Amino acid sequence: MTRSGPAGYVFFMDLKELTDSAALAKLALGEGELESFAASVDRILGYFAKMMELDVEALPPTTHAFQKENVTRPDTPWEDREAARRLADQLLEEAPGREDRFFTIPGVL
Amino acid sequence: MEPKEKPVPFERGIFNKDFVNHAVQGNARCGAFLELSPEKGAALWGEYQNDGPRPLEGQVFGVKDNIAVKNFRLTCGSKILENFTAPYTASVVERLLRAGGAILGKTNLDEFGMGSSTDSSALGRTHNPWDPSRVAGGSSGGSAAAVAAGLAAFALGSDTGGSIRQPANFCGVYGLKPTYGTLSRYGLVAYASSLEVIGILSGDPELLALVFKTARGADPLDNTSQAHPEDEEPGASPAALQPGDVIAVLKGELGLEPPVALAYDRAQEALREAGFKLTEARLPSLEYVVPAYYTIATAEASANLARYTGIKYGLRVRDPRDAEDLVIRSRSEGFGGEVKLRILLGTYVLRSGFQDRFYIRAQKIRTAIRKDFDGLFKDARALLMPVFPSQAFPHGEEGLDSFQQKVADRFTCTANLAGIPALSVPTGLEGGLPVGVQFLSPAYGEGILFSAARSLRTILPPAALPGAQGRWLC
Repeated sequence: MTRSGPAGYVFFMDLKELTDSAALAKLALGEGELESFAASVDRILGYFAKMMELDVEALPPTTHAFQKENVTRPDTPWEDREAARRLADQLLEEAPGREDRFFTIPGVL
Repeated sequence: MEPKEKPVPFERGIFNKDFVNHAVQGNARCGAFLELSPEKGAALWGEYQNDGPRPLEGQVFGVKDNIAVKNFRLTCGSKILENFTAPYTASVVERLLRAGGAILGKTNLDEFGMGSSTDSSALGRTHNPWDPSRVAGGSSGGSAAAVAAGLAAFALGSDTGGSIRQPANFCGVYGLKPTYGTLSRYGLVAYASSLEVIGILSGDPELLALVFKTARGADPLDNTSQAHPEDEEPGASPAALQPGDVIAVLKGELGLEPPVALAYDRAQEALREAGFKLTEARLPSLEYVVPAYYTIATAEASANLARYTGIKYGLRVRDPRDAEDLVIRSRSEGFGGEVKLRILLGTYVLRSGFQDRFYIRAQKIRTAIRKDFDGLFKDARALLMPVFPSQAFPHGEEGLDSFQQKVADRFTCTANLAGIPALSVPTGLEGGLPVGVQFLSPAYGEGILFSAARSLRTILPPAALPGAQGRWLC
């Protein structure tokens, strides 16, 4: 998995993988940011490589400390309809762009 | 002249004016609070009047600014939520309000809880009350500073990999990371959901235990929450430590700075003096915990922080070209460097082709850690470990960089991977700065941790910051 990248210090993730990951994460990295993130990410992934030393073949993965099964609550409407409406209104108040009770975004068509 | 009775900071719905002045001045020095609002706190207290038991009547507390309190801001120390006001109150906070507690304000943190210094907050600088040139630790640095400076009797924080215990250690107060799920996470802004818990910081371990008892319990609004066995059936959870009990101690090359190593040795002597048997702990998986922890934490962070799009709430950039541009630029301008770094790492380790190498392997190491603890707690009732390799480090370049801070999480993040409780215990000063240790126990063994703290307290009492307690009870 060791590679040498164009910047000379990228061993574990090349710049294309970094920019691809940024695109997937909906982040735009500036010129200076790209270089500094490349160095930081590389240093951390190099450290993550330590995990390869351990033989984990026989171990099942743990996804959660204690939870064995999914817990759900009944899907019932709020008894206090007015309180539900007030909460919804307050959430809508926080919207950076809104028309009536809708969020607005630039046109997609 | 008759000595006057100590005034109380909050009584019958009103914050004492002198106390508010004391808090405002204290906050100007240490920057513990991002929002300090006795007016909002008193108004909220008034909404929770009831005839039930009110064990926390008049106790003043601070709330980390990634935990929702209605009508207070909820910024997570981030530009992306700088102007966001919480429309509801976290379940744990509601329980404390029903018990009579009064909120003074919202405390500073590393952005979204990502860091060990509180310096990655985009919205304010927090200083260690013992030495303002040093950090208060993090990510719950504001909560630790507020308690250490005597601005609150206790404070809520959150702990994903040590974010309560390390700042508590840096500021010389007690910090509890409870068993995963015992405190509801409803109202806690999500970072790494399978690891993080809300917890408590206080200078008084008895108050801390009372707050924990008051705040815990299953919550229908958090499907990972669960009742503490002690509340279902008294005596069901592990009993307090007794002299003669075995405490395992992590030994070997721990890489501690000399004052921390000295304090660690002293704590062991004190525990022997108190009558405990100390044995050497075996935790073979310890050297793999930090990479496993950061793999899991960043993976979960990349998913949890996908919700910040600039559409429903939070920062939205002006004049976006289209919807995609709106999302990308709002996120890129709203998040700070450390948050972006973790989102990038998390996105990478979850990508197809890389999952087996990083994410799945980290989850398997998580199993190894749990097995290590299961074995260890067959023979020992508690585990003693350092909290952090150094005392509070200086702000800026002289301190630890972001990578060094991550590596230094090795003593704290184990408890989060295993879901077990841990308590950071102050043991006095070395060179004028607080030192301390932490205890870990099996799940639901918080009672063990409190009894360990009591044992140490009689021999190695924590130091109180001169002038911080002052004439205030908190």
